[in-house]
Amino acid sequence: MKNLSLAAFAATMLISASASAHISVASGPGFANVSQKITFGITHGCNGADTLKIKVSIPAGVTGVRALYSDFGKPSVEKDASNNVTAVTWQKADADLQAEDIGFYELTIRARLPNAPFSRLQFNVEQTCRTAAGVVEVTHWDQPPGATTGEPAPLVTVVPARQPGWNKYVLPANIAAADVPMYFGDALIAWRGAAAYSSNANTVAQITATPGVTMLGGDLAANDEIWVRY
Amino acid sequence: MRALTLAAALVFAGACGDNVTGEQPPPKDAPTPDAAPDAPPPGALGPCLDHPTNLPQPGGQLPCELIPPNAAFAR
Repeated sequence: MKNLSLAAFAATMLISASASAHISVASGPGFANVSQKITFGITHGCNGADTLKIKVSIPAGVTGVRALYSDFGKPSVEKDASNNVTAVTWQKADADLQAEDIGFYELTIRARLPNAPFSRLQFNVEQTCRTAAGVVEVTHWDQPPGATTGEPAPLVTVVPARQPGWNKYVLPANIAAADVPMYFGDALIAWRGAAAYSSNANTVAQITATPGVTMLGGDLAANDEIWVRY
Repeated sequence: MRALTLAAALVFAGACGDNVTGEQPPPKDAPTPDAAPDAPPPGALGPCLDHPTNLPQPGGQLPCELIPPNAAFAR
C-alpha cells in the first residue's frame, strides 16, 4: 500500500510539473547522441498580449542545430566563431500579431543532443509579447529546476537510445528516487535486481503481487544495472 | 503463501505444456535431442523461461513478458 501511494505521488508530481509549465518541451524525452526534433510549446503570451518573438538559446553540447519554419515565419540563427548555432529566433510579421492572447504555438528545431543520458538539458527562452497598443513585454524563461524566483526554463530530459523490448543500461551517475519517474515513466517496467518500477498502476499491483519482487525505491547509484522494457 | 505460489506456478507450467497425449515419432527432418543446443535443465529457470507467455499469471502476478531475461529471483 505504501508503495502504491509512492507511485501515485510520483505520478501526481509529473502531472503537476507539466501543468505549471508555461514554455515547455512538447516533444517528450530526447535521446542522447541522436539527431532529433525538439519542439517547444508556447502555452500563452504575456498578461493578455500575444507572443511576437521567441528566442531559444542553444546549450553547450547541442550540435547540428537546424530550425524549422513555423507559424512565426522564417527562423534566424546566431552562431559562434566555430559556426555552431547558439540561438534560434522566430519573429512574427506585425500583421500576424493577434489583438489578444488566444494562441498556442509550437516551435521546433532539429539537433543532436550530447551523449549524456539520464540528465536534463536546460534551454533558456526569451519571450517577447506586444499588445495591440504597442506595449512590449519581455519574459525570460531561464531559471533552473527548484528556483524560487523568475520563470522556469524548459528542460529536455535526456535518455539513452532504446529499442522495443528489453534494454540494459548501466547508470553513469546517481539518480535520485524522485527522478526515477522522469527517466523511466514511459517504460513498461524498469528493474534493478529484484526490484521493479512502473508508472502504470496495474503493473504496480502486479509487482506487489509477485513473490520475491519489491517495488523499486530509494536512489539509484552510479553503475547500477537497470533492465528496462519499452 | 510461498507453497501456494509454487503450486500455482506448477499448475500454470502444466497448462502451458504440450497437450499431445500419445507418443508420436519426430518428423523426419526434425533434429534429434543430441543435436539440440545446450540448454538449462527443464524447471531450472522458472516457468517464465520454460514456458514464456504473455498470459496473465496466477494471483495477479507480473506476466512473463515483464520479467527481465536475467531475473535472479524465483519465478
